[in-house]
Amino acid sequence: MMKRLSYHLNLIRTLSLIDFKLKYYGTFLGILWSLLKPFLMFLTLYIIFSKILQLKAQHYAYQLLLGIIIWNFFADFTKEAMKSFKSKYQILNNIKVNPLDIILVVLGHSLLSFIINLGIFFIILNFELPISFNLKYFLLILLFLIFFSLGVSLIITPFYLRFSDVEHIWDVILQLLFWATPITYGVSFIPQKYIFLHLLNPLSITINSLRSIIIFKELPIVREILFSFGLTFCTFIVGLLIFQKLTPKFLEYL
Amino acid sequence: MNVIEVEKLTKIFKIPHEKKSTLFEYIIGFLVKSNSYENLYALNDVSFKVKKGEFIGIIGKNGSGKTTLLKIIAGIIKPTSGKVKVNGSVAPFLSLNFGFHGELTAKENIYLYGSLLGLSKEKIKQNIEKILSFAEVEKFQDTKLKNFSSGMVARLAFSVMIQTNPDILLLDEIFAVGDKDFVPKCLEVFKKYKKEQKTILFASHDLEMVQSFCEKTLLLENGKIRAFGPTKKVIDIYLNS
Repeated sequence: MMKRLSYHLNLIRTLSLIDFKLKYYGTFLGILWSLLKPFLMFLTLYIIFSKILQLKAQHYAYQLLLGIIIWNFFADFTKEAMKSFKSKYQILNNIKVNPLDIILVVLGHSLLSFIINLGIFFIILNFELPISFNLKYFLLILLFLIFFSLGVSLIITPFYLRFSDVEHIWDVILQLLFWATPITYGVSFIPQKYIFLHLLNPLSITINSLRSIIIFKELPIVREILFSFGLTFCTFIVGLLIFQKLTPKFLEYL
Repeated sequence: MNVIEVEKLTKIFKIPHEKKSTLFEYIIGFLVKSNSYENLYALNDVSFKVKKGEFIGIIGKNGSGKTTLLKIIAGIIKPTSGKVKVNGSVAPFLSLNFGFHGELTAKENIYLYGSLLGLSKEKIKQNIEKILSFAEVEKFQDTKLKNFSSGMVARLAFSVMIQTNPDILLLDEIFAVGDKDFVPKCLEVFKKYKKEQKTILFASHDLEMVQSFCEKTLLLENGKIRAFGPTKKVIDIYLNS
């Protein structure tokens, strides 16, 4: 049992680090790109919303940057997980590997980028606000985010194996989700009529709660956390069931 | 003692009449009811047993099911029906173009491939000199793999694989690379494995090679066992068919 666990952990760790390295390999700025990408996106959106549209919100820059970093983790992880079986085709075709490990490898190197980005965010934040917040809630919410993203990846990956157009469909869904999630705006901008969209979207709750904890030094709303927990749990379980049932069958389409 | 028991093994690949890889094509196909496919029996009711310490050759024409059989025994693909029982650790060596990555150095590739085969980081660290020297690539440990010759890659892969010290070795057409140093290296290891009572399944088109170190041979034809027995007899059947 311990031996099997250490085999899986060793495999996931080694492949995650190698993938992280390969991702930016051969690019001029190398690993800096994992930092530059979200910050360039931030700059663009900041100019549009703060300078041109004149959106007024307290600590808007920090709210926006935190939202983008969380969003990028979700979007990059799900997209790369979806494609991971195709890029690791040679391995899967020649060595016995648990397909779930391949998804966890992608999670590993996505988390690495995410943690680096969060670190930079805290350094920047430190210039203006004290970094003191409720660590327990912070970790709990991050855990929900990880399991929700994992659940979504487990659902879309097998379908992508069978139908290659899932890639384009997912691109469109991500685009929709980006604007439906309060990244460029705050939850307070959502009309009461549409507040259910916020409650049904674990990403929205994650971003809102982390903004409360880190930037406004407030406790998150317990009702929202419970909603997020329920949805995350369901997504993850459904994902696991779909993945275990369909992946072995659809891997033959590779 | 039987180390491998294969019982009524069948593997069917569904070959669609028209390949539909997009959702759109699939829906259209569903509407006009053209989602038909043909069943290809890659393996059809195959049963056999392998005892500990036996070297078994697997021969047959292209498409006779050799690779599919090895892949099922290795656990890489699942059979449609039937059972495979394996006692002991299995090391698959099914192609020379597997997990290695050209942009990584030889050393990094050893860690990559080693961890896929279940070697711990510590174990690889301890044995890295041995792996590099057995593969005769010590001087190139920090060279990117894309600059290696196919023979060097083959030796490196083989060298990592034997570190797992498997009970059962599955080989598929590995001598096709035609590297003059690679073949004797392998034979040296096989001799050692013979003494240690390890089991090898060796699929190949090279009948001479099969004859020289497999005492028993399995002849596959269109997914079925045509013959299984002493190598010389089976090769005669194959050549006369």
